Amino acid sequence: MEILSNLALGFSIALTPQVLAYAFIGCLFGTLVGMLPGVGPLTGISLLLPVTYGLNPTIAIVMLAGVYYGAMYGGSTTSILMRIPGEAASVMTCIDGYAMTQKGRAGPALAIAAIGSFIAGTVSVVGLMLLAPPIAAVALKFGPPEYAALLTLGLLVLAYLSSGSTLKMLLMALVGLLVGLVGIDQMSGFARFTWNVPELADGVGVVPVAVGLFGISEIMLSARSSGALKVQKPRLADLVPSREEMRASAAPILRGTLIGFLVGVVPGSAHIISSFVSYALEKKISKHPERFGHGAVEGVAGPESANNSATSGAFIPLLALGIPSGAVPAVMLAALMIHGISPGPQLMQSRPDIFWGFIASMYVGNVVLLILNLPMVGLFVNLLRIPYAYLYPFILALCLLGVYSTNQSTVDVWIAIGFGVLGYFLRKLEFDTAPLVLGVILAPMLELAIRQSLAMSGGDWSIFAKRPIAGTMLALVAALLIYNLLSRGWRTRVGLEEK
Amino acid sequence: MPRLLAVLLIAAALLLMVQKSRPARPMDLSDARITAVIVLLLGAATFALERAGYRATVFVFLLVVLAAVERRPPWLSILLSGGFALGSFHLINTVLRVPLPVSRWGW
Repeated sequence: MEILSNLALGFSIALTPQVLAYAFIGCLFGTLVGMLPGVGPLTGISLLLPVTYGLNPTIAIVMLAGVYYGAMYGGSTTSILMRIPGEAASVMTCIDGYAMTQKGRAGPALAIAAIGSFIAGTVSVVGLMLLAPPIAAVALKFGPPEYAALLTLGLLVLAYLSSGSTLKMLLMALVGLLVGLVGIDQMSGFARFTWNVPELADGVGVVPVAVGLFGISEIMLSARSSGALKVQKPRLADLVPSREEMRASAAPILRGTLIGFLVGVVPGSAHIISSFVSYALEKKISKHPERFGHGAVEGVAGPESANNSATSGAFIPLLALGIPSGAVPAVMLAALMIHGISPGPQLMQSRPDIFWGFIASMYVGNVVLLILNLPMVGLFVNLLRIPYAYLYPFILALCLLGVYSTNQSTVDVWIAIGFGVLGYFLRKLEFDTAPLVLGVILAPMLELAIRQSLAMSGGDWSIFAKRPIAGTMLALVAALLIYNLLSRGWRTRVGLEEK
Repeated sequence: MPRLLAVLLIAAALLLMVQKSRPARPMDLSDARITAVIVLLLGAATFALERAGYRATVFVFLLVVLAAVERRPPWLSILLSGGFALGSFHLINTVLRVPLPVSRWGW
């Protein structure tokens, strides 16, 4: 009953005309961001962040969340119509979505993607609503040692579960943690690694790092492809899927929803991993796996539902524990902190308007996205007809504008350019830069938690082992590291590593 | 903490070097020219931003990229650059009240 009354409070906020308008703007901007190759949700949220300064925190978070799940919807459009994933999570949709387009079934593929995303988005918000409060209640019992252990575990799981080399991910997370330590030491008040630059006293901001690594470096990598793209433009009447396609999609949508939600809670690039897992599962359990890759509607329904469901799952650690589980929630955390809000176990009690308003807005946002993405898909795809040579200069100008206006500081812009160059080379060397962004935002929290724990114990490191919850989490960290090293050693010995 | 992280970073880097048994592929730097141009132009724009003001800086930056780098029609480049510089300034600075730099000459 308490949940229902809280939800009623949330809807009373989410359904006000002002919140609805900003949710619409966020969803629209997110859809466009998701469709454009080279601008993902992370860059989109970073660019829109300064715009939220004059807004109240509830509206700000509602609009930014709209960008996040709008980008998930938008990414599917380019994947299906052009075989270009506007967003990394839509890579799996390309395979069967584009095959359906080639068979003349682009409309139903878009409709199934939108319906699946809507169902997954709505169901997973129910999960978020039900799970976040009990997790937050448990987290209230956490002290600094438990937080330190949880943050360490989160970073390690992110490195372990992300695609690619675990060691490379750990390296990126460590670089991020080091960058995150720039600025005034929270315990002693001394300035560290600031090189006499006053702007660095507050640390390196997550926005310039994210825009540099994900926005500017992406432009550097893709600016050469300046030609116009051939786009198919489906008509509204073509969008209706057949009864057979609807029946074939029902179970994959439900499975994708569950997978996405569960994977979303775990740290890592949840929306990306969940779509891969969902596609693999659908192919595995299908009676006709040979249809996959040739236009199987299940290959669109499952991954699209999973990546949308994962966005809600990813908000659980952020809202209940105050710990972001990936790069996008990390930027959302930064956005909340700019507005003076500290997400965490006390948020539900101290600011129920923000927490429940945000939850309710996600239901509203899913409806808005369904309306935006089905009838207006023909309008959106016109954007893709603009040659990239015209688009990328404006994306760069937006990066410049977004980073500068966050703190009105050119130092931030220089930092973004520096990280853009770094990101360009890191991506050429096949490093995933998401753990770096997460490291930047987690570093001050992790350092504070470790030093507070050591202050509690008088400098005795065994405090982390003596506390049962922290000890268990650190044992998990050790087990993961040992397992990874042993399995790698074994694979190298039997010669599987290179194969 | 920074020292501990630096030690861990060096250890992880060494481990990565040891594990890399296959010869490293040469890095594809075919897009290095456009990357260098983008970095140079962004650097120049950042240098000019607080001196020449937002509108002038963004107008010149876009004009150079569109007309000189991408060789788009000059009249269209001027129109698009001017429209974006003035439109985004009005939206962010005037409507949303997020201050953007203005030159000492007032533009």
